[in-house]
Amino acid sequence: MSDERDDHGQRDADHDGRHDGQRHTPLDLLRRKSDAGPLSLRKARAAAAPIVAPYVTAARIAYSKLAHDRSARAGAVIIAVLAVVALSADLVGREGAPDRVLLPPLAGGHLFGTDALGRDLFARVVHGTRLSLTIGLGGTILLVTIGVVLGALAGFVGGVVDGIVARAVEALMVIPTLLLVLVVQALLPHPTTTTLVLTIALTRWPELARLVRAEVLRVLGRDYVAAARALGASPLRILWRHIMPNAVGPAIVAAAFGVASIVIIQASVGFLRVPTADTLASWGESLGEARSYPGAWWLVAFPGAALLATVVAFNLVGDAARDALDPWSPRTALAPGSPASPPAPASPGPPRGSGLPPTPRRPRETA
Amino acid sequence: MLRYALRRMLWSVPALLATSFILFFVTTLAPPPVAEDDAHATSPAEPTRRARFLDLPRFVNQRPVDVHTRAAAALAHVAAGDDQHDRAARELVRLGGAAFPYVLPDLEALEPEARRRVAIALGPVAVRMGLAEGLDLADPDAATLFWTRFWDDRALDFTRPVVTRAVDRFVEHGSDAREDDLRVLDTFALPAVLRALRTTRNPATRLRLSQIAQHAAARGPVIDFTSAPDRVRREIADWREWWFVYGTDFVALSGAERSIATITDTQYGKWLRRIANGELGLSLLDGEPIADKLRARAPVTMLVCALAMLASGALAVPLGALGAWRRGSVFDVTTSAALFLLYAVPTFVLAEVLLRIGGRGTALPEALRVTLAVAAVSAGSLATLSRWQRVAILDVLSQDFIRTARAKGAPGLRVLVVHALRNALAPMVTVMGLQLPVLLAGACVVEDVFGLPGIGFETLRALEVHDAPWLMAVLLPTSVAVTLGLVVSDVAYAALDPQLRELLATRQGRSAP
Repeated sequence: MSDERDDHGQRDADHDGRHDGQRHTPLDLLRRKSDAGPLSLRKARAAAAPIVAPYVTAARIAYSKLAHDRSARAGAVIIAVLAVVALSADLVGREGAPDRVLLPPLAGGHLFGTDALGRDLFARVVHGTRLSLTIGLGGTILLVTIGVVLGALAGFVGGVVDGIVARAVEALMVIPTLLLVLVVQALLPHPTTTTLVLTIALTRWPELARLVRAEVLRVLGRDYVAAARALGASPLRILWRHIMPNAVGPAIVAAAFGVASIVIIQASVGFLRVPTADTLASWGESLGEARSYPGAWWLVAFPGAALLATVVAFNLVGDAARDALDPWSPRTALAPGSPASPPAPASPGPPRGSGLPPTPRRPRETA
Repeated sequence: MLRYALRRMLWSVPALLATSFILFFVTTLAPPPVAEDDAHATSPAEPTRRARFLDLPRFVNQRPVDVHTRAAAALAHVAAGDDQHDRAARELVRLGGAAFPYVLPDLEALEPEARRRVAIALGPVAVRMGLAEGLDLADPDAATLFWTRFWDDRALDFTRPVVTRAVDRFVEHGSDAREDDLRVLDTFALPAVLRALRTTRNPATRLRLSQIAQHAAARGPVIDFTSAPDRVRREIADWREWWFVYGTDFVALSGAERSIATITDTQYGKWLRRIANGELGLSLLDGEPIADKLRARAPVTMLVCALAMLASGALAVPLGALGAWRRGSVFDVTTSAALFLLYAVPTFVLAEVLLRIGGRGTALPEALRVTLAVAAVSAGSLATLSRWQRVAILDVLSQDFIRTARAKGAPGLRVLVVHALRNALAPMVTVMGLQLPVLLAGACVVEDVFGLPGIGFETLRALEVHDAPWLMAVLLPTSVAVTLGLVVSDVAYAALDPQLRELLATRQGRSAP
């Protein structure tokens, strides 16, 4: 399988469903006709089927790898459960009138006990799930958009734009995000959850922008981009059709890790009791309350477990997605044949990405 | 190699500027003090506004204001005797001696009536200078005559070299006559007096200089020679701060200074210069100089960060290396899983759990608290670093020279340590550099949990009272430190990696697509 195929694969993902396994053009049929007797569509199709190898796109390979990855499935299940909880928060976690304070779990009909103000902890955790997921997803969408657009522009346009983006990236990467978020929330006249999300998204995009830029630069030198250019494709078309599909992988991975880190930051801000104008139940806030009541272990255990589960789930998915999207990593059932020995990418040093480092490709013996 | 190091350092300058830009933008988020209709000296919020330079434009000051422009504006109002006369007169008195070179020579050119008004308005200055005894300065003609004569006699004294010498001589030997000389110069002597106040070591001179400054500026503390060194430092910081904000009121800008002032005399310029000078201002929390507080608090944070860096690095390298060496073994799988979990645990949750295990409520000894804090902070980076280490070793292990080493019969451990680990350490340097901001942010949270009096602990107190000067004083040096750390780690990485060294030596910029 050639490199071009790999790179184009994701672009073709949308054709995939329609032509799966049986791509034939009128030209194919005509050719069949010459050696297979009179033209009959059914015959031609039957003749063509075994000859044309199933067309496998990179997206399908990635999906298949992801679906066969046990940790990814575990992560997906946890995320699904959390999503259901978040969506049905008003149904499941109905917060009744305040009860006695600091009831232990199961006492007085409170599954998780009550907090320092006598509120049902289960309801708080459930509503915290909704808040965390909303913030995580909202922030991630913003972060990915900014990161992909700026990274692609920097790589594609180059020159001054590249310089400006590179400086902004460097400047933002050295500022401790949590501290900056805390300071912004403290200095704003009306800090809200929205400003929190905005601040996080505006300070976390550089990592993704760097990855996307590197990817764009890598692809720009490829023959198929030169071919597209020679065919008269406009720069915008080249960017959109031939280059951007390559940024999808880093974006998906960054999104998964992004949700995890945003959830952590949001919880930290709540924990440190930096005031926000809107009083929404959040895990961090419950954890923060727990500090004043050393005996009430449930105040730490349940919100902490929910937070941990969320972060672990998104990290698992992100980790697996990175493996799955790495064209050099081993393939599963769907891929026909074995990949050619890949050229070692000359990367000076590890990529400065967030989250966990990639699982390295297996040694070449497997190839 | 040297060229690469230099270029890397040069490129960090615009990055630092960009950082400062971002942080400056953050400071402007703070709500301005009580909104008011005009920006004149009479409005109550004026001092706060000026202390935060809100009277200045943000980035470019097309018309920097100095004593000359201020004096000219005030003079025009007083001479015209319009409805702003009173305020302008007060402004003239405030500007005092510093404004004389721009007020008194113009007296002759004014209408007699206007001249009288100006002379009367300047009366309080003469009183302040100690020259009004036996004179009736409320009488317009006497006042006019007084000021005309004054300028005839003293015009030559109101030049910078003369003032500098007068102050130097006073510091050398503080006789009463020399003190009187300085009093007559009034605010014109302020720059030199305050400079001498900062440099002198003699408590008696310091006292008299601060008295002169207080007399002329009608504000500020007198630095008593009996007070504690701590208080002396705070009072000198107070004078510096005042001069930083109001200095331009008493100094005339020359042509070159004026063009520089278009950039420096702005909110951003003032803010940046203040921080570059190490003048971090006074904390809003307790009025202490921030530099002192930072000096007192930094050791704890630095200790925690350094120990955490050391601990995570020292643990991560063997963990990652062994995991890679015995890939797929029980050891590898369990450590990988454990580290994955550890990576997902937020620092503050871990700190809280550790605190409960260590025994909350009971007063833990300091050493134990520091240990637990280090453990909490280093956990996250331990997970990241060891994962990277594992990846790096696996990458190296699959290369040909490792096979060669094995083929020639080198013992396994020797292959791992000498051949693989050495080559895998280079990329780790960069990763460790990038852990710095993570560690710092973690330290802040953890200090609060364990009650360690470090920068983070103080920062969380500062957040509650919106102590912007302190917050900036924490964020900017931290960012600068991390930037420098990255430069060092990049250069170290390039120096450690022979392939990259070669690449850098031959590279001709970015290859064209």
